[in-house]
Amino acid sequence: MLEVAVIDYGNGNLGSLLAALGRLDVKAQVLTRASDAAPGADAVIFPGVGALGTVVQHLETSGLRALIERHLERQRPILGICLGMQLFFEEGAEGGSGLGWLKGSIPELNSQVLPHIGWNTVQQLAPHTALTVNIPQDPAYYFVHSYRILPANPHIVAGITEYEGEPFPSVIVDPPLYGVQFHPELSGHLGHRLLAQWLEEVR
Amino acid sequence: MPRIIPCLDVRHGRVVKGVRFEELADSGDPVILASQYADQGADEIVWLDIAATIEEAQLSLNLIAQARALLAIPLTVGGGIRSLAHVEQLLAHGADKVSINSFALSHPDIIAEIAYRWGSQCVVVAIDARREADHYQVYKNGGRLRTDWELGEWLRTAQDQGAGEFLLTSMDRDGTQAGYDLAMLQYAQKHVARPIIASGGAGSAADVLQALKAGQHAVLLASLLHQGKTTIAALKSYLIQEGVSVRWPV
Repeated sequence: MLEVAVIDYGNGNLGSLLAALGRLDVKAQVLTRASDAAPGADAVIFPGVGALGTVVQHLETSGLRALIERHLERQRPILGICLGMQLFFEEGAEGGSGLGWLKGSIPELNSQVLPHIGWNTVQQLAPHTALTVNIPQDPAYYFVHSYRILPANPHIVAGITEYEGEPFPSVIVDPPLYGVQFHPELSGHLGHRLLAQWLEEVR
Repeated sequence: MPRIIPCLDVRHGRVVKGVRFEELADSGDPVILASQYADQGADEIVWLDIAATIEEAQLSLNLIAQARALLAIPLTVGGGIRSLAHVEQLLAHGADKVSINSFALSHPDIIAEIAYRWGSQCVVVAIDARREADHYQVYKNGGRLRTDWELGEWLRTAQDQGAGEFLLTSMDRDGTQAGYDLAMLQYAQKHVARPIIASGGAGSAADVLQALKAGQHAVLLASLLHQGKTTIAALKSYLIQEGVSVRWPV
């Protein structure tokens, strides 16, 4: 059976993600500190709600950063959701920093009205990844964020979304790192299917 | 894409909906209703529940957890929130966001405390307001108590404290099915740079269309749905026919 670990870095607001995994018959292990870890989870989900702010520091003091980086060194997959994906990158706005696993920054969206909250479509650029295959054209997912990623390497971008005229990457694939700006756990049947496909691919 | 958001007013484990904040009528099981609305294409669910006793509070937490297990769309829960511990309980039982109203008017700091701990996106500030002569006045306790806050002033204060979103109910329109209070909504939008959910007054699909064509991005629906006048699916197909791009559940 697939062992999935979900990183809890202090917000404790994981109910909808755990419920979504429950509907997929996945019993996830929630890690709040490194010592919670059973050796060798097959896949890690790095959720995200909240602000960049103190997350990196928390990940370091709890030992979770070192734990996740060992997982990465073994080329085991990580799915970053929203802030979780943003943390893959280097520099955030207003001095906050990410984990720097991928080159690029995390600027604020340009729109006057933030956060970007609600359903929006993804234009799929790379249709043959676990995060896009078998998903209909221009699927709609649920977004809630004020920041976006600006990856240095455009080839990792597998999907793009536009908010108030500003296009931003909403799906990235750079195995073992996978990321979505939207929340599959809150995105109805399509979100369910996306999580199922990803778990199937990384199994 | 604009959001169509059913609102469940829950008392003692059942959905009720008042007409002008009075005359409560029973219209169903909240868990079943929430799940049906999600299947029909609701974009989010708002669940407002004021529990008077510890037993009622536990009942509502249990129902929220049951709803969460079924719902693959966002769930906002509110009603009588007065502490971070209460917010923590609601989130632990599966709410994605909390909606706070009366307590924040006298304790605006609680908005900042929730935003600091769980992020701004977690705090929906709900406001009940009505027109008074040349301005809009904010009321609390389900519209029973007038406050000293003028609407624009309270919106800006709540935004500065970290509100991620507003749920603005027109007391003049709530339960009347006479259409959304577009004048009040447009007034509110001039004061804040946050999404505003329009609430109060939807009596027909045409009212929803009018609000979306007037630039609203999110609308709350209650009696229109609970009384079986329309369904989310029928409403969305009407909106699509009328040229409004809404999410069709697939």
